Amino acid sequence: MTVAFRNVTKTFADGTTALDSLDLSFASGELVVILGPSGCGKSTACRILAGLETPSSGTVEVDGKDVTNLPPRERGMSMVFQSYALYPHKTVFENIAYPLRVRGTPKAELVRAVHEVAAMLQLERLLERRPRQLSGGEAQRVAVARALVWKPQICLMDEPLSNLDALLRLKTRIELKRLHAELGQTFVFVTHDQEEAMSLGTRIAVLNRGALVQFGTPQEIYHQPATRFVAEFIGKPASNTLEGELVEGSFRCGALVVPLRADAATVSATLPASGRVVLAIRPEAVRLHEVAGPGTVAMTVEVVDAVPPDTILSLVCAGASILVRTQAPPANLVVGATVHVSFPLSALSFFELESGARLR
Amino acid sequence: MSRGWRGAAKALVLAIIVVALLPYVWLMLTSVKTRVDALADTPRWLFSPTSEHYPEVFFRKDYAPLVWNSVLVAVGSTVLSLALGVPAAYAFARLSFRGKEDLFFFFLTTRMAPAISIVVPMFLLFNFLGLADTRSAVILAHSTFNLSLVVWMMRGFFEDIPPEVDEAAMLDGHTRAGAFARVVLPLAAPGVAATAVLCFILSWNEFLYAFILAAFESRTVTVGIPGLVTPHGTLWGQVAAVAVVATVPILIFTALVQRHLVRGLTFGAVKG
Repeated sequence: MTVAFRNVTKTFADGTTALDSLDLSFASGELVVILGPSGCGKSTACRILAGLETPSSGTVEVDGKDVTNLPPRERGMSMVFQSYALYPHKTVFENIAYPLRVRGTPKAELVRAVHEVAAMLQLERLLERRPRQLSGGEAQRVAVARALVWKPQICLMDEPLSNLDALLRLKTRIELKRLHAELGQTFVFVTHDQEEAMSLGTRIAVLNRGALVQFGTPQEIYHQPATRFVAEFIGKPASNTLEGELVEGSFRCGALVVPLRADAATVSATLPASGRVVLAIRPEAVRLHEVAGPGTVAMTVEVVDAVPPDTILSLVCAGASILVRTQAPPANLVVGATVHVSFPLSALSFFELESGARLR
Repeated sequence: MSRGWRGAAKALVLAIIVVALLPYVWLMLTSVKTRVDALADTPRWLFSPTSEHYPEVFFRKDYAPLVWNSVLVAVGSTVLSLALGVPAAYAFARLSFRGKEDLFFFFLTTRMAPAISIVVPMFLLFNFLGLADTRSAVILAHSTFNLSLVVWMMRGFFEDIPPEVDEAAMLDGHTRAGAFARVVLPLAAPGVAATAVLCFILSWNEFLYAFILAAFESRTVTVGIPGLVTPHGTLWGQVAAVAVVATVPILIFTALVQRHLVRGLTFGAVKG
């Protein structure tokens, strides 16, 4: 089974464009995360897939069949809402059983299916309760149970963890990962939290301003960001990005000079010989040195932020500032001290200044 | 709250109850007073009751069918207004269509014209349709104001229910109409009950339309009461007897839906 958005555009009545020519396709069994900042159109994409919104143009296909105009109930999909949207007047059992009831499942099979999914999500002792008697985490699990009980082809999740506190969010995330591994169903998971996306996704679709920016595995997204936006959005902390100039085989940004031909391996033929570009490097890729050496830059420590096991250093020099993440900070590190840093060529990404598109 | 305040609050509530119920108690007393007692200059609390008014007005003057007319009209108008207005209100609450807010406002404007200005054309229309002096005419006339009430009240109740609940129902296998009928409507039951009570009371108490459109065979209780104002004076005992009986259906109807009047079913729809 495959799911495909073909050139999907959604413009709302007030004129805002939520999705702009979205092209995205994926196969069954994946856990696809749609990731982006708020207002990027990720929820709209999810709702269009569910049939709750109709695209202004373009089509949605499942297995090559155009489902753009099918009502939600004919799409074989379920959904977990951010607000859970449990039926407040029904018990937990009836909430979970409802998709089966509506579809006319025989009673014995219905009871068996509800108990099976309730066991999977540790809901058995809550079956007689009503939604208002549940904690946030319990309500969330009931919503997941309701979405899985009838074994839909695809389970959509629109920010299902956003209303949980941090600890529970982490726990539930691991739980969802386990469920996906066990069931082998296709999950589409919408979130604005890049950490959640990196953890859960087999592939991540990064959206910005209604357009698909990058679609790839978490590794690809992290190490080869397609645009400056992705580099600055992914990671905690995100990539350092520096606007500077390519001059005589090196990158200059104020007092920060990165030689690009330190050894035989030149960075790439795709880089222009000169001009203004954006350099990006992950905070943990920056190397720290005790003493100055060839290709190192001297920077001053501005802030030391130690959150074991990591230490995040905020470093400045004239015209540039970067964050460095390390698990082995230099001894006697104090604010105001000078450290020497170097930028391994293999960890560098370059983007066009104007468009933000990747140069290498 | 301290004991003193609690006592004061209780006294206040009691005072409000007394003020609210006094006219009704007075009405009940009047319905069993003789003419002399009822018209006494100083209000009489102690008197020898009479049971003459009830049989006189309901059987000899044949007012009993009027109560039946009122019941049919009020129930008919309430049912008709809810049947048309509740789905319309749901559409206003959930769907987006061109001119929605204008149309919604139009429902309100139908109530802005003074009733007296439309009742004569309405009479001519019903006369032309052969509905003069029928309960149907009064039901339709009362539905003109009840329908807008239903649409305006129920839209708010539907908007209190998170739209995700309908959407979940649609993903669970319902059509939009099915989600409305099977999931949203049960959740909106308190709202429907409250609206129904208001419709019923408005229709029950309405005089002008009922008087102009059906003054004879199909007249309602409100239209019948002025008939007790005779050239020889107002028959206060009989007026009170009719009024006492006329409150009974409202009490029954309110008691029937009271269970649903308590809001709270929808709490917890979103947050736990």
